[in-house]
Amino acid sequence: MTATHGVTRRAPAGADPVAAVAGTAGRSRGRRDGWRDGWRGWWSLGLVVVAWTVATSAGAVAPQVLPGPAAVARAGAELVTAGTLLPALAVSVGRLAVGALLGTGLGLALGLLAGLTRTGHDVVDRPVQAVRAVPFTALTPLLVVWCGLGETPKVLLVVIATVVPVYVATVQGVQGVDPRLRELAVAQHLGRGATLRRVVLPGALPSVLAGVRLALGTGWVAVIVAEQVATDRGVGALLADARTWARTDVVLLCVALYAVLGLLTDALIRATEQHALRWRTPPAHPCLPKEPA
Amino acid sequence: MGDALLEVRDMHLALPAPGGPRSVLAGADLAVPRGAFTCVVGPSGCGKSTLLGVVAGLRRPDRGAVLLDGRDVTGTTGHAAWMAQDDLLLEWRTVLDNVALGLQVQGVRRREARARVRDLLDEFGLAGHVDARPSELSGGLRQRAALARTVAQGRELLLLDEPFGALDALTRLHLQRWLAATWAAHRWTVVMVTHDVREAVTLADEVVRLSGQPAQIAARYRVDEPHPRHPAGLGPATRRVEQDVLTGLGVLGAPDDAPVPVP
Ligand SMILES: Nc1ncnc2c1ncn2[C@@H]1O[C@H](COP(=O)(O)OP(=O)(O)O)[C@@H](O)[C@H]1O
Ligand SMILES: [Mg+2]
Repeated sequence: MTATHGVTRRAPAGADPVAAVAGTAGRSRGRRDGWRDGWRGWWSLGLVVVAWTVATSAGAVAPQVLPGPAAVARAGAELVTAGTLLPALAVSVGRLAVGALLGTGLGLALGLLAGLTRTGHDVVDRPVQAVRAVPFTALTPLLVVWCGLGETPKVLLVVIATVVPVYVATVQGVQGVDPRLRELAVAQHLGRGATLRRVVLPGALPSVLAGVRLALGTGWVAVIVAEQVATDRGVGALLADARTWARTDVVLLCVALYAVLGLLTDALIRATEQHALRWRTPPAHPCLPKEPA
Repeated sequence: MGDALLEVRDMHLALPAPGGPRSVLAGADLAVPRGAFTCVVGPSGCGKSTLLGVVAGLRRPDRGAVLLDGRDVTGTTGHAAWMAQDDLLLEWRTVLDNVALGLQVQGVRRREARARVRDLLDEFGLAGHVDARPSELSGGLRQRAALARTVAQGRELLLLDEPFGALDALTRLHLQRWLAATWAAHRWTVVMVTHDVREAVTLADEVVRLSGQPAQIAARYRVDEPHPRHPAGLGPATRRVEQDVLTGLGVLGAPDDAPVPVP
């Protein structure tokens, strides 16, 4: 190969004028933009809080109906000192984490089975679609009858809620991988395992992650529903107690906690997406063209 | 024919079509000497890519054989490096990791694979783009990366399916020159499909013209002019071959008063 360098080194140097110009700059800028975009839109939520503060402190709304942010924060501090808030949070987060982990794993496995093999699709797809057709909230009584009032029915509900979106996204992702890449895999001598690991899975990842994000959203809904039905511990139990004692501030606190937990989970997945899919050019924000003059 | 590296014998293949299986290859024969550059031309959709895919072992023919050095390799891969019509780069891998893909799964240690690929990328003018993603590359660079990935497999026989087909005319001329020089240095045996007759006669030792569907070998043309050739400065004999190929394809030679046939 050493003898060839005289010829080949020279040829490419002048060969492609584009080569010299097209650099890889702009990547760090892109990351900074991404960070800023991450905070975009938060001001509108801040505005809601401001409006809430103004409305309640001006006395326009009775504090028994809608306590102000300060009162809610006080209620939070009170529960923290009483030692009830953090354990409750941990219980709820734990339910989501365990359920979503199991549900995502199951959805991924079933999705791969259905997406990769015809037989797998025949066996798996109909039953999952049937589960999908039933709102998972309708399964709560059944789960309670089957599993009692412990942790099992709650986690199971989260599993059911998360498995479907992950399954659908995985099937879609796997089937969306460019079929011509299969030929590439054959030509490059990749076996089944290597093709799955290096071509199919990375190709399906964007879709799978979108599915996981969706699943975590419904997963939280499942946690909330489950905690409404059989309340012993967790944020749902706090909520039930507050309802009993007509503590609107604590009720609001619990609702806000659910919101924050949902937003945090979403941010976590977004960050994962941004890291794992950094090879993708971010989609442009949809916008309408200017009106022609 | 005795010293042919690659021999294709009596290749037949039917592919599924709306009205039932349709014959795409109907008795194609090829003999490619070691170190020779062969170009395959033919009407669009006649079966050029299919033929190349069968030679690469991506699909098994209904009848016929592919021989490498006299060894029957029909329906198997590993004897040749194939490059698709589209570059088929994996968008989530860097240029380096795309090119190293084959080596990695062959069990070459990561460090060594990367070192080898780095040398190759240097030679292919991609040294400055080692860690770039494919989406950051121009069309010409993507094509070079795909070519580097093909070459990285370390096979003597390269099967290239319209490697420059999607490029603009200027980039294509650059890459043709570059490929000719690289080929001259390495002396790979190349079978290249192209729809550009000028490209074919500039690069090839032999041009093979396929008939329309189902594809058979319609004609072979030797190009004896020594390499390197330049598309703008081809000798009279080579120009004549170009005319012959174009005539064979039905593009040239219609009498002035006859209606030009619609392909
Ligand atoms: N996977 C396939 N299944 C069915 N028909 C195919 C397939 N691939 C190609 N064909 C058909 O075979 C014919 C030859 O295709 P191809 O080899 O790609 O032509 P070319 O490369 O010469 O333009 C075309 O008519 C095409 O529609
Ligand atoms: Mg083709």
